[in-house]
Amino acid sequence: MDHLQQEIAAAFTRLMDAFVSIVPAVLVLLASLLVGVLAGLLLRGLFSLISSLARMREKPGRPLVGILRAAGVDAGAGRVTRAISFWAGITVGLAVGVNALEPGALKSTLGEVVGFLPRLLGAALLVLLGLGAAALAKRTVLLGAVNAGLPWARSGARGVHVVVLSFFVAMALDHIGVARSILVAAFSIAAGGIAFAVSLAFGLGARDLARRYLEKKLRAEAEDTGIRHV
Amino acid sequence: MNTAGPPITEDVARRIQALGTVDVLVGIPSFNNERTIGHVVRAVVAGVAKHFPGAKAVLVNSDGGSRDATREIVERTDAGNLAEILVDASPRTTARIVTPYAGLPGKGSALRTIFRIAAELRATACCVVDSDLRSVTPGWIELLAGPVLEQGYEFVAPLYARHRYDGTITNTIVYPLTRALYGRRVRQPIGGDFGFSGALAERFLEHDVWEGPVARYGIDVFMTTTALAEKRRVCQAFLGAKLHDPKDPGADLQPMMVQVVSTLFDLMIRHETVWRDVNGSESVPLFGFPHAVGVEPVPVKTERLASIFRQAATDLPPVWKGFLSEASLDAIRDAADEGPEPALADAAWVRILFEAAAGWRRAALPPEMLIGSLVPLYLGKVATFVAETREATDEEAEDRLDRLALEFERSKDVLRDVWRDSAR
Repeated sequence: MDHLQQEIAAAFTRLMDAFVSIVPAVLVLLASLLVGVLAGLLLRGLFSLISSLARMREKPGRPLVGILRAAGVDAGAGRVTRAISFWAGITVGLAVGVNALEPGALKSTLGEVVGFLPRLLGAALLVLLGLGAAALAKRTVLLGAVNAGLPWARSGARGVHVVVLSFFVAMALDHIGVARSILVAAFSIAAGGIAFAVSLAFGLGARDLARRYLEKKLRAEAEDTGIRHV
Repeated sequence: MNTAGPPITEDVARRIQALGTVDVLVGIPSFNNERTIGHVVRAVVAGVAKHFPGAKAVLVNSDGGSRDATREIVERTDAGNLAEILVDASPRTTARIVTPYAGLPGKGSALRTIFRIAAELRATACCVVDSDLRSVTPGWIELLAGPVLEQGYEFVAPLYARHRYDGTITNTIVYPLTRALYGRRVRQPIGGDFGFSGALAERFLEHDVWEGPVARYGIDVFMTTTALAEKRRVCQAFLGAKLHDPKDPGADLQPMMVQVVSTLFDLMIRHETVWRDVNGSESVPLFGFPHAVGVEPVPVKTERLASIFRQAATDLPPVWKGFLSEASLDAIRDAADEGPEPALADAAWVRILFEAAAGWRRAALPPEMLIGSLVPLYLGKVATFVAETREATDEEAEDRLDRLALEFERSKDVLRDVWRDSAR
């Protein structure tokens, strides 16, 4: 019985020792994170100050603002910059904290996680870019198709949105190294398949429609409304 | 040769030096117009000979690199036997300068070179006529250059007899908006043929606008607006019918509209202090004798206009939300649901344009996207106008357009409000 008690006490002591041994490391990590948060806040404040001093308001002629809005992003360029600088500060603080740890299992595990972060952030940025590019492409196609009087404007725009977004998601997955070879093969098969299916559907399945459409496009006068605009 | 402006060739510089100064300069911008430019040159030469016999005149052809015989035709064409054309003809021939222009390809760049030459020659009066005109007569030269040369006007806008469905961008956007903004009733602000003083030509050159839409179709509205905003002495000249070389009327709608409307909106930003306090409008003096003209009939089919408008009303609200209010979106929806033909009310159309101008100011969308998204709304307004005036007389149709222009004037406070909000 005494032996059992001694074993339990020893195990408890080892656990406490292990816990106490990582407390400084955790404290270092938390302190680094705190410094990172403060640095992020400082950077964000600095950018706000620069923005207000330079009167970086959303004025005409700022192409970035126009592109963000075209993509359906209502936030201004300044707001996006401030958010990025804040999170960059935190990430750097976290990386420094992990580097400051004593070598061991914790450092190794956290090191792997933190080492993966830049790639994850890169992938997230790619997805964000993809969302913007897909929204921009969708609106451009929608507008062009509506103004041309094409009945498939909305579905065409959606299709373009899906294709562009898929392309960026595939790039993001490739960036973080998820099922790289399967991804490339799947993407190639899907893209080729879609193009082949559309060609078949348009050329064979709807050949009368295709003929009429091309004839109409080639004979511009068939579209003439008679109105003289200028 | 100290005048600012586009570069000119050594040959042109020599011609300018040889000419010294001129009283009248007639400019013709061109690009592949061999079919019509001979007629235009004959009309110009005869017009100068008849109406300005004692004046020192020059004809300037600013060409965009025509691959046909346009330039050769300008150089060799004369009025022919003036005695057969004019009862009282002067035997003088008109000097001419034929030159390619520098800069972006477009009418604006062509006119910029003409302005430069006018400034160098210290021309007293200038006029420009399009090279694809079939209806230009010698009288046009008198009506465009005469008020400047003899009456001291600084800008002469054309007034044509046109079919009610000819010039619909002018009728539904440019004329009423310009009138409401600057308070002067210039009926054809983008008519294409203008008279102006040499001093005003020099002033046009001073503006830093030649790398954008003004280099293309935006030039006409730039000239008119500049003259109005700078409070120049402006008049109109009745030229009769305007007939030009046939081309596909719908082919270039979107780029043309982008160039014209973006120039209009850019100038609103530039001249805000001028238009902000203007209320109502007044007519400008008219030269020439307005008379009835048998204009070319325009057989209009509104089905396509209506279908594009309806499709846009369903598909484009996500884009329009970037710059239009809920009230405007509701009005568009209602107009699309109205009946067999769209019924976009004047008040709604005016509000849409004012909100678009404010959206332009705060860069709510990229330029092409914002104005491109106005195209179906414009087509809806045109379809509405056609439906309202199909059975109307010409006078009734013109009255209808006048009511639209009055709505623009009455709603000026709406513009002031949305414009102020767009600055926040």
